[in-house]
Amino acid sequence: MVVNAVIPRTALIWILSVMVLLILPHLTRMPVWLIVLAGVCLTWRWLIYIGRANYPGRAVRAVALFAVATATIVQYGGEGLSIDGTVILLISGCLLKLLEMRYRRDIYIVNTLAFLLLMAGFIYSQSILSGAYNLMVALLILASLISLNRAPDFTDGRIEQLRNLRLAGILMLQALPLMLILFVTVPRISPLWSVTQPSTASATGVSDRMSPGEISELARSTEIAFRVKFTGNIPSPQQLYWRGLVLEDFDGSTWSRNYFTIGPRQDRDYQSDSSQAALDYSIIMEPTQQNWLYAINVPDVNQPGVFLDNYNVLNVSRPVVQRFRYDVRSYTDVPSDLILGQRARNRALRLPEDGNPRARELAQQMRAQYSDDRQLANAMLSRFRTEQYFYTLYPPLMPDNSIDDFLFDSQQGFCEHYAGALTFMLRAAGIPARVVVGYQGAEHNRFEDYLIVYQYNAHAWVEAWFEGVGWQQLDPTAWVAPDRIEQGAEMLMRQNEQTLQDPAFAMLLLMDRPWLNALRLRMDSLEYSWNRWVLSYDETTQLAFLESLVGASRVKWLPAIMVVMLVLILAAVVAGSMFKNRRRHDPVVDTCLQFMNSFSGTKLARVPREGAYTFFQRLAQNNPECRDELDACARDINQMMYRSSMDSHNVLIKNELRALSTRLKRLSRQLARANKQSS
Amino acid sequence: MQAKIDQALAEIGSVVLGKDQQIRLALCCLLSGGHLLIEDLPGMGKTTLAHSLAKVFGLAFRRVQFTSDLLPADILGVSVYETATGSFVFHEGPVFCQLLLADEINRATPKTQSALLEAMEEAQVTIEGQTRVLPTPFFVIATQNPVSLAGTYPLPESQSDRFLMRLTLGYPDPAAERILLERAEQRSSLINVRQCFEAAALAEWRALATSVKCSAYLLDYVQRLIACTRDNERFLAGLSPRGGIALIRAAKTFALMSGRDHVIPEDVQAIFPSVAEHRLQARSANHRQSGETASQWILNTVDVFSA
Repeated sequence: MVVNAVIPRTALIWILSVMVLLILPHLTRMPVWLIVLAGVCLTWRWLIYIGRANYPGRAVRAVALFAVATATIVQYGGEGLSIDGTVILLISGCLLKLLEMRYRRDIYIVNTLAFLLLMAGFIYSQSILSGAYNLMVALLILASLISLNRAPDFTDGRIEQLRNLRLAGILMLQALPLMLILFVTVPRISPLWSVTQPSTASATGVSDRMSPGEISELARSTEIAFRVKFTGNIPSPQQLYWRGLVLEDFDGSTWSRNYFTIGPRQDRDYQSDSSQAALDYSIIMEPTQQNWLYAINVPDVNQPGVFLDNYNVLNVSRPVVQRFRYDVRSYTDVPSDLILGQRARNRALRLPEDGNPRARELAQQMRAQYSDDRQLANAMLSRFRTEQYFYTLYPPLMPDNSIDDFLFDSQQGFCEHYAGALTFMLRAAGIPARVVVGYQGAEHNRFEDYLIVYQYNAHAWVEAWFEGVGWQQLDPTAWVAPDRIEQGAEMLMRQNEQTLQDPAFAMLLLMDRPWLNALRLRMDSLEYSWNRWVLSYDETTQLAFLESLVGASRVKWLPAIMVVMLVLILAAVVAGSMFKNRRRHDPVVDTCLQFMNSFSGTKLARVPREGAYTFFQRLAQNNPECRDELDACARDINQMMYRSSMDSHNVLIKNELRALSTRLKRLSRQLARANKQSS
Repeated sequence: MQAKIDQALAEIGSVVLGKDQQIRLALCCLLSGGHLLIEDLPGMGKTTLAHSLAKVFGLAFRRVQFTSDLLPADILGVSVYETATGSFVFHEGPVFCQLLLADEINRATPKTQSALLEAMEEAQVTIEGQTRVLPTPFFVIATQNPVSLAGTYPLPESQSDRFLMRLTLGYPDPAAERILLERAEQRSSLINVRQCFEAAALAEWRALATSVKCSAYLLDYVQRLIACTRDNERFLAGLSPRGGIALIRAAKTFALMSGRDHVIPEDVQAIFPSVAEHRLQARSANHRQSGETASQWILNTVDVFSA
C-alpha cells in the first residue's frame, strides 16, 4: 500500500460527500462559527481539487487551529469536558483535516475520523430513522475506503462507483451476523466515567411543582411521554390514571413535592398473590431527566434501581436520561394506607396561614352541612357540575388568591385548577387530601396493540384519605368534563377551535384522514418495536435472554467462556499472521503452483523457467482439444499476476482468485479425462 | 503498431534469412533507444543486419570500419586549417549521424574504442574543448568478432555495459542457407529494404514503452534473476543496477512489440540472454562445456513462481 500516493479523484468526492452527510444531523447544535468553518473547509478543499486554490500554509493552519480551539473553549469550556464540546471539537478537527488531506495517508485518517463522527451521532439520537441514516453513511464511508483500494479499471467511472457501493453493501451484509452476535452477547457494562449530558436534554414532562398554567402548557405538546404494552386486555380509559407524583406542599399558589418525607415504602398493604386484581404491563419511557416513573396505582416493580416510595410512587436512583423500560404489576383493588400516621395526616391537612378566604369559608359551610367525610367530598365534586364551570386549556390568569378567583369569579380552568381547588377545600374542611400529577388516558395503536401516552395526556387529580378506605382517588375533571376522561384528551381538544389553530396540534388535524392516521400509527409502532427490542436491550434483558438460551445455572460461566474464546481467536489470528509472514505465501502463486505441481512426476512436469504462458502452451500442444480453455486460464493468470496492480492480500482479488481456482480444478479434471481416453 | 513490427520483420527477414528471433531482438533494442552490439564470426551477416535496420528506420547512416590503426579523430572529426579563410574549420567525423555502424569494433585500439564512450552515453562529443551535440536519435550498432580471434582488443567492461543488447547470429539453418546459396549473386537485395518507421515513431515507441506495466510479481522475478547472478559462484560479478534497468527497459519494449500493456516473464526470458550475457563475467570456462550459456543457466535455474 502506497500511503504517500496522491488521492484518487473518486475517493475525494466520496469523502467530501460523506463529510457533508455526517455534519448535517449536528447542524442544529452547531454554533454559527462552526457552520461557517464547515462551508469554508469544504469549499476550499473543492477549490484545491479543481485547481483554483492551494493547500493552506503552516501559518494559516496554525491560526485556524488556535481559533477553533479558543472558540470551543470559550463556548463550552465552562462546563468542563461536556459531550457537546467534545463533539464540536471532533467536527471542527475533521473539517480542518480536510484542508490537510493531500496524500492517501491523510484520507485514511479522515475515513477513521468519519467513523468516529458517525458514532458521536448516536449520542444525540438513537431512533430507527437516525439508525437507518447512519447505516447509509457507514455504507458510503466503506465505499470510499474501497474506492481508495480498488485499482481503477479504466471503465466508466459511474459503473465503477456503483460496483464499489455494491461491494460495500455486501461487506455490510456479511458483517450483519457478527453484529447480531456481538449485540446479543457482549456484556453491557455501565460506563466507568460519567459525562455531563448533552444540553438538548432538558427536563421534560410533568415536573415536581404545579402552579396554575403549568400543566395546560404541557398539555399543548404532542410529544410522546411513554408507550405501554399490556400483557392482558387493555383496561378501560377510566382506569388509565398514570400516577406520577404526589404534591403535598402548598404555598398559596404552587403545589410542590415534599422531598424530605420521601422514603422507600416499608410496609405493603397488599400481598403479591394471584387473588388480587392485577394489571401487568411494560412501559418504555422517553427520557425525562427526572427520577420518578409513571404507573397505575398500586404498582409493584421488581427491577434493580427502582423502588416504591411511601406515596406509592415509583422512583429510580438515577434520572431517566435515556429511554427506560420497566415492567410493572399494578394491584388495582388494594386499599392503601388504611392507617394514617399523625405526621402524615398533619402534612395532608396543612394550609397556608392566610389567603383564599372565600374558599375556606365555603368549605366550613359545607362541613357544617355534611358530617360524613365521603358525603362532603361528593358534595364538593358535584358542586363543580351544578355550578357553571368550564374546562378549558386557555384559562385566564389569576395572580393572587388563585383558588378564590377560580372558584368564584372566572370558573374556568384546566385540570390543575380543579385539582388544586378541590384539595384546598378538602383540607380546609379537615379531610386529608393531596394533589397527584401524571397522565390520564392513552391512544391505542392497533398495529402492535400498545398504548401511546402523549404529553397532552398530562393530568392532575386529587387523592383524599377516608377512614376505613385509605387514600381514595377523586377526579374533579371527570365531573366537569366527563369527555376528557372517557374519550381522551385529544377529543376534548378537537372540540376547541382555539386548540385546532395551535400549530402544535397539526397532528390532530392529520388524524382526520384515516390513511394518514394509520400511517402515523404504523410509523410509531415501528419506532416502538425498535425501542422495545433494540434500545431497551440492557443488562437485565440480556441476562434474561441468555438464561433462557443456555440455562440459568450455566449463564455465569458465559463471560469466562467468551473471554477464553476471544483470547483463543486472537491467538489464532496472531499465530496465523506470523505463520503467513514467515512463509510469505502468496495466494495467487499458490493457486497456480497447486495446479502446475499436479503434473510433477509426469512427462508434462513444469521446469522452473516455465511461466504460465509457456507451460499452458505446452499443455495445449499435448491436449489440443483443451487449447481454448488452457489459453483462457493462462491469460487469466497473467492478467492477475502481471496486469492488475493489486497486491494479492487485497480483498478485492479474492473473488477473481476463487473463480480462477475453480476454473483450474475443472481444467485438471478435463485433462485427466482426456488423458485417460487417449491411453 | 503491430503491423509496423511485422512489416519491419518481413523487410529485414528478406535480407537476413532465418533469423527472426534475432531481428526481433534487434528491433526491440533500437525501439528501446539502446545501442546494439552484434557479435559473431566474420561473414555471418552482421553488417547486413545493421544496414537493413538503418534502412528500416530510415535513419541517416554512416559506417566506420574499425582497424587497428584507426584514431579517435577518424571517428569524431578534426579541425582543419583553411588557407582561404585563414581559420580552423571543424570537419565532422562519421559519428555525426543518426546511426553509426561501427564495424569490427574490437579490431581498434582501446583508445579509439573509448572515443565512442561519451558519444554513446551522452549523445554528444567533446572535441578540442568544445562540446557538440549529436543528432537525435543517435544509435550505435557495433559488430565484433569473437574475442578469441587473432588481432582483437576485447571491449572493456565499462564499454560493453553501454550496449543494451549483444546479439549473436550463428549459422543459418539449412533451409535458409539454401536460399542464400541460390541467390548468392544477388547481393543487391539490401537496396530493396524499405523504410517502415516514420522519423517520429522511435520517440512514440519510447514514450509508450514507459507506460507498460511491470507488476510486483514480475519485479520479484527480475530481482530473483539478478540475485542469482550476484549470489552464484559461477560469476565474478553479477548484474549491475544499470543491467537491471536495461532488463526492464528491454522487456517493456518487447511486451509492447507483442501488443501487451504489461510485461510477462516470457518477455524477460526472451530478452535476458542478449541483455545480460555480455554484462556477466563467468568465473571459469569450465561451465561453458555444458553447452548452455550462463544466461540460459540462470533462466533455467530461477523459478518463475517463487515458492
